[in-house]
Amino acid sequence: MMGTSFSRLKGLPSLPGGGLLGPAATVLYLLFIGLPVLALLIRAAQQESFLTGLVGGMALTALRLSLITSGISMIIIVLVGTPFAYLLARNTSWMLRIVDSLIELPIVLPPVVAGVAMLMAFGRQGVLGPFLEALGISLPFTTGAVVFAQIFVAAPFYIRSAKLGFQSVARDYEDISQTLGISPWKTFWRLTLPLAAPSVLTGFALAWARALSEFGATIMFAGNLMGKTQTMPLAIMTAMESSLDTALALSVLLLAGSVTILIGLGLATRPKWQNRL
Amino acid sequence: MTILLLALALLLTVACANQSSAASSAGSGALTVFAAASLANSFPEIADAFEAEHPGASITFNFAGSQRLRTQLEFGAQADVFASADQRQMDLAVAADLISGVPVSFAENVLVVITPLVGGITDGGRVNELDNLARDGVKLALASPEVPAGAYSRELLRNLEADVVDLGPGYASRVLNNVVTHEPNVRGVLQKVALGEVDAGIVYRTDAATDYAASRVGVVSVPVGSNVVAEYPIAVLREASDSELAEEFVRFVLGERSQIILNSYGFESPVIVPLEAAPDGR
Repeated sequence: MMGTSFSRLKGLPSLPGGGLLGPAATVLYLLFIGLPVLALLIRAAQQESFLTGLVGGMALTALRLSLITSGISMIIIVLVGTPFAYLLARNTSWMLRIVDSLIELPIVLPPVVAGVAMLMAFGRQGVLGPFLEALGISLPFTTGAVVFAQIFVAAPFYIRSAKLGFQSVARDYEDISQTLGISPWKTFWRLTLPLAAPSVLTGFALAWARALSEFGATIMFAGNLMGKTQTMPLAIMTAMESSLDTALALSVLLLAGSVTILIGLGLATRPKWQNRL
Repeated sequence: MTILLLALALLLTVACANQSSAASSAGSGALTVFAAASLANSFPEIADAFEAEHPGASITFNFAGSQRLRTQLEFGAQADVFASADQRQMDLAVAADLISGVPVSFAENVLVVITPLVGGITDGGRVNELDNLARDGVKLALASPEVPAGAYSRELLRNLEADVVDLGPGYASRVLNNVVTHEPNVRGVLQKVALGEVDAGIVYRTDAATDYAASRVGVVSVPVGSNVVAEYPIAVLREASDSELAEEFVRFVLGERSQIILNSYGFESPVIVPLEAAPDGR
């Protein structure tokens, strides 16, 4: 997905609307996105108590919780999402095509709605509530609920991108590999996955970033309790209403995390794309 | 062509940003009132009465936790009146130089413990006494400590620990250990109890008396002597676009008609309603 736009840029096609539009739009857009990010950094740097805000219990606790929950979410998303995405890419039955078009529902669904829906499904009074209670499980307002919310909103980003990646690998390659006597399993690991890797990694990074930033579904379904369900975004919201220092420190931390993911993504995907082109 | 469209879009965006202040400064009678979440039922009725008495006036509300409203105002939100659920958030607003004149108390409220009528804990029985709140495995929702209702709730627990010997030492902290969520406003607490997702919560008496709550939550009474009296101050904001109308609204809230409405929702009038005092205190 990202790769195609890169390859189009390479040819530098002439833009409609004359020579000025492109640069003007670029500058405008960079200012619009860059200014708030820059302002966040400047204000954070000006805070004398920036470091205290950072090491204050709330920030580190929230950071740890965010990393653990989003890590678990990503493991589950990859384990379940990869075979699912592969199936979607390879199977064209009408049933799967309907499923395919519904995959992106959580992306367009407002996260708060997702949170309400999860309460209605997995809450104590939810559809599955009595069943879960019989098993001795109470999900809402637990760290598990945070993971549920993250998977719900983030998984589509991974599945969609991975599916496109698998689709871009011509079926013929796989067929040839298998006529050469290589097992389907090995073919997937040695051929399909490496070729689809850029898209899969892009999806991974997008989903991870989305999981880290998840807010609406979490506060609905998992609540807001320090150390247990208060992830970074919830901590920022809470801190915003008491201590701007802490809110700024947390924001910079989350920003740094996102930038790291972005850079990692660039490093992981670009050389491989160039090899393929 | 594209550049023209872009310029137009930008102009529209800027126009949107200016809309609220422009509309009210034109003397159209539009008032924006930032009011505590617990006022979400009573204030619209007061606004209806005010609008009926002041043709042309129209009131828009922003209901949220008072701490959030105060934060929004600090970051430049445009509003005319601020009604807080506690003195602390109003004091912070005064300290931030957001308030014109002196805030006046217009209502009082007390706290109740609520439990879900449907759902809640099934084994070990419902929370029906205050000491149940400290029982192991009970799940509680409270407002965040920054939220007025959250601050009052913690004060109530400390009062109970000090006044009611039966509850035992460490009662307040044992109850706080059972809290599973810190909600950003008191209505969040009500919602989570009403849904039966937690076993109990602490809200204002007025929240438990709303039509929505009456059919969904039960009330565990709190000894009157230990309860906390929540005071609601109201004030005109310095940046009010129509400060005369804003002052008129504040006077109206302090007036008899509004006080009757507030009482009907379970609020109490402050001991001395300074009916004659102008809200700007001059």
